[in-house]
Amino acid sequence: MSDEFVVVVNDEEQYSVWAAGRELPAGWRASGFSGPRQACLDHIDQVWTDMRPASVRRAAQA
Amino acid sequence: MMSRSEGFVSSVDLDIPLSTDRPDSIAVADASGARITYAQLRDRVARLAAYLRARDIGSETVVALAIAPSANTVVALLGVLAAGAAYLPLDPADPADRLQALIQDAKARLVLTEGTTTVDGVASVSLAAAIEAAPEQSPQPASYQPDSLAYVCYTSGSTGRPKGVGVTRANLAAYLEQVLEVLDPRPGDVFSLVQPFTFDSGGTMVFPALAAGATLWVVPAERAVDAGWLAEHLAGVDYLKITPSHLAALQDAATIPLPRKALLLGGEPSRWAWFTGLAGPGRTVINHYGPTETTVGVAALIGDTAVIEPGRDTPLGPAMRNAVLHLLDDNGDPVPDGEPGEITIGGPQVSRGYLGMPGRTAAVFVPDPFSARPGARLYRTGDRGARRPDGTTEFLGRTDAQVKIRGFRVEPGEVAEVLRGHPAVTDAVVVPWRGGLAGYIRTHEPVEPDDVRAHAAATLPKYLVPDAITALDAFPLTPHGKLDTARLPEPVLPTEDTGPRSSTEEAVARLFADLLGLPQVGSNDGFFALGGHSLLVAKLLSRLRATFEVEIPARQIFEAPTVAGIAAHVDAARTRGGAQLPPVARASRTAPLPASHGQQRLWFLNQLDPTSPLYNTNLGVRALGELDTAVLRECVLDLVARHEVLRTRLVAGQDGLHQVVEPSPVVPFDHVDLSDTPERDREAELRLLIAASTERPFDLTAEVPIRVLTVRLADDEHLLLLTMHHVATEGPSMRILHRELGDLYAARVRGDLPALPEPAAQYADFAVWQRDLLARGAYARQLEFWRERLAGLPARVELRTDLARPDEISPAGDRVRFELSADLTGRLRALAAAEGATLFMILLAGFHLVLAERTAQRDVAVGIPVAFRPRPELEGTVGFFGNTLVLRTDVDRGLGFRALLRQVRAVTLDAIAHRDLPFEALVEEVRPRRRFGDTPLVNVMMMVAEEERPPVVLDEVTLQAEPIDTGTAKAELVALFEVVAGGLTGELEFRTDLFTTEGITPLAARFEQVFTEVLADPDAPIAGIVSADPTLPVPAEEVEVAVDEDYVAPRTDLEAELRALWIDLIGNPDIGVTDHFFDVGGHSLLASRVVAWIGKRYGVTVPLRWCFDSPTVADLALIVLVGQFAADDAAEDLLAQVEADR
Repeated sequence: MSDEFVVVVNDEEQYSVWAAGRELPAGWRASGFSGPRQACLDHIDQVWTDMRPASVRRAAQA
Repeated sequence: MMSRSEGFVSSVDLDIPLSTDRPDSIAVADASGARITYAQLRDRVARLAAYLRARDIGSETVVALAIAPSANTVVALLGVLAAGAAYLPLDPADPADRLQALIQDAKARLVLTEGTTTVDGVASVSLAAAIEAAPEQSPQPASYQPDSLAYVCYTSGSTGRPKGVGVTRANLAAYLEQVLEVLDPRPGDVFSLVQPFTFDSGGTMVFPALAAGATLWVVPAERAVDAGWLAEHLAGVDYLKITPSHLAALQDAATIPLPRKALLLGGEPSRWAWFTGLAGPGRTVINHYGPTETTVGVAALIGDTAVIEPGRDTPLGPAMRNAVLHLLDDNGDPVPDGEPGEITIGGPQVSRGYLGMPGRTAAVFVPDPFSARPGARLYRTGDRGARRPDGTTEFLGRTDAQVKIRGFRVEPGEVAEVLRGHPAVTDAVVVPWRGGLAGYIRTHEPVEPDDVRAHAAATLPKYLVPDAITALDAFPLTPHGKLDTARLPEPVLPTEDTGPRSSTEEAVARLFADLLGLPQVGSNDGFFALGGHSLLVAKLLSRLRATFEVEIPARQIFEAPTVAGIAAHVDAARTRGGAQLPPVARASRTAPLPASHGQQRLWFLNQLDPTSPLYNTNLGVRALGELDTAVLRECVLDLVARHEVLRTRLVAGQDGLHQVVEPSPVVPFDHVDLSDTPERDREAELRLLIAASTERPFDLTAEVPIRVLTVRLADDEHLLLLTMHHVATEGPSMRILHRELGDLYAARVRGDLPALPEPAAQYADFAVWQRDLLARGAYARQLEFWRERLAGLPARVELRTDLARPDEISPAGDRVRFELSADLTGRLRALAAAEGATLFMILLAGFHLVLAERTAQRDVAVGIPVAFRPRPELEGTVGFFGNTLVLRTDVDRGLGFRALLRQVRAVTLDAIAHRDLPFEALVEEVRPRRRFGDTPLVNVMMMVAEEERPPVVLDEVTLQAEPIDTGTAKAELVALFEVVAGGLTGELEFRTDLFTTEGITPLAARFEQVFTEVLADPDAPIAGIVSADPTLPVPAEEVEVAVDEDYVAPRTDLEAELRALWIDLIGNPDIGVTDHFFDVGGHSLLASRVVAWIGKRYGVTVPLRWCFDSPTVADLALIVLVGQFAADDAAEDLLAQVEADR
């Protein structure tokens, strides 16, 4: 098990973690942050401030 | 791994999942009696949604529901969904701190309550007020996305903070779609929700029921553990979801009917052998699996279609239509079949994650590499499993410390964190223990473990509170320095030194100790504090029932969970004679309606002597003023229409006596105008008219039990007489009828239609209810009491009569009046009060002294008529609720009056505590040998007059109660008292076949004399007061009536047949043809069945009184023979011949 993880995000702007070096599933992209798993999770705690899916957020603003 | 649901994206725009097919069928019901139709539900839901929309509550707004499980909870959650918002289910029974914490964590904008909960900083409104205040039209239509939040459900979190799982409308729609496919419910099916709304598991019942047009029953927590209640409830249920441990606990306590269509188990593992044993004809048993994070359930093992290898535990079934189950290793790669891996779930039910916890969400909601849908996520459950060859998954436990407590997910870390929050606690660990939790603490200052437990109970729901807290100096560690849970000491539960006090407490304490595995339990120890939990309550209730033969509602266990508290409830229930009586429900009018025990006895007496008016009762009303007799007549018909018992005939059927309610009977009316009769003759004429009505017997089988007479005495004076058979009425009924007559007349005379509400229950409903209770053994304890109390009771009080006792006594009676002064009455009251007794009790004690003038008998039973309605819904019901209590006193001449009074007090209180048992059922049980004309068990009675019916004063007319004297006596000797302004008036009523006015007058005068004497010295032996006449009668020695001890076998076919009939009816095989009917166990109803059987078999009409006159098989055979040949000229000869043969 790899010790290095990347922070990933999908089209709904939902965040997760993914083992570095593994192929990312469709619909996900790397956010640019990487590090040990816990560091990635701590980072997500900082950046994922609005947990509503993007589609719901957009509808609310419309 | 590919799934058949790959690519499914719910396009179901989840509107309220409410069937529209049958607007008038019941959508939601609960144990409080709520019944909400689909039409009503839609209306209330729409109104609540409009209320919420008017406050701009919609998509992505959370509304908390602090409403105890009830039909209203369903209204509330659907209303929130209809507004496009999300609901947060809360349990109002949880500690206020916890409610506050969850409401704040979920950022709820509004709390819907039952009017009692308030939360700091958040607006709250009662559900009823919100629906009431709703605008007619929703100001803004609901706007939401499929991915808008539908509900928030909290689960235990290991860091000490509960996690709010956010489930979307699309998640819920996907679950609903797949579960409907499995359940296939139909309109009219019944779903039972026995799980709290805070447990998402109940979604399996709530949404499919409402989507299908079925009825959803919401069962509150205290009923959900009440095996007795559930056993009845579940008999009518089609779908039930329950945790295996809950069902097993119920099954331990009672025979639990399983649902007719589907039983769903979920929340925790079960044994395979037990699971397979739950199947039954037409019933599917389903093991349903799924974490809250993936919306209620994702896998279903359908018992009867699964072809699987047997194993120890029930496996997790294949994934359902809208879910995919993967078994992954630590790297996220699938493991080979049979290898252990983490159960990981994909598909449209994967929820949003944990509200306000991005990092914790990201840790377990991970990219889904197996899905064709871009951006899809998987949920890593933390459950370990292995794929079996048959495609199911074996559950292997947790990858972390999470445990299941009665189906609830529990992170012991959350509980430990709360314990650490106590100021004295340095560190804490929590481990599963005996179906619950045990906590261990290290402290930096001395603290009572109970304090720490109380601290936990103040913030945690009950299932998270450790059953025991143990303080340790140090936690045991493994060589690697990790906590060694195996070496934690067995928890010690706090018990008090105070031993149990009463014998009931001792027995309850033993039950506690057995159930909880404890050596001893003190009176003030609480069931829950000792480690009891809600599932054990079911067992406790059933053991209480078995031990004490009482029904204790589960609610009382929760309210007073100590040994002493429960013992007090047990004692109260035993004094009441057991059961908390169930409500009287409306009985089906299509099935035959049984007669009540009271009706049965009165019908028997009616058939026995069809010419007797003894049980006629009279409601006399003198109307002073201007009366419209036509309107009055309408009002009487209204009464007959309102009260079924007034138009009920009693007809003997194969299986007992039935009530036949006439829809529109002809009520006999007589009207006589005496206004032209000379005044001096008028009252005499009136007495004749009254006598003509009151002395005419009723045939209860052929007629309705009421007839009406109106007499015009003058322009402004009328008499209304309702003569009714006792079978339809008694004192309280008279008051109801009189009052209603006034209400009806007031309305009708104005030209209005009467607005009286329907009676809450009819007498027939009571009869069915009473039969049902008896059949269920609800009165077993009372029967036992009376059997013991009346064992060896002399046949009657042997009184010195004024006239020779004839063989047969007619009910004809007369009365002698007497009075007790206000001063004497006041002193009697004072003496009674000093002994905690009532005026009634002291009058009865005095009556015993008066009776002692006529008997030397010590063992004296006096009958007390009582009329009481055992349930509040019978308060407005007309009918015969009379019962006779037998008060048996030992009139020991050596006692002082005060001691006699104490004895009478105890006897009376005991009798009242056991007053529910119908007298008739007692007579059947005790089976005294009876003679024609005897009242069974008692020949002496005492009663205190019913309060007078208050006059009804209307504008034009006043309706006054008119006393009617019927010239009969209810027993050989009856003392009646009435409280009047100047003290007491009394009457001695007597049967004129036995007593004379001259003889009774001095007896009546004795009351004043004996009371004056006993008040002078209440402790002097009563021997000094009562007559010492040695010739007074004593009870006839148990004259063994020279019973034919010898068994006589039947000598003819007819005798053999009749004997077989007796054996069949009485259930006693030991019957000879010369044995007395009552001695071998016969009773009145059986006697009438003998008559019916003989009528059918031989075409011979045997008079019912055969059981008194010809009470043996041989005698009966003779009657049949004579009857068969009655038309035959040879009958006399034959009779002579038979007689000669005997």
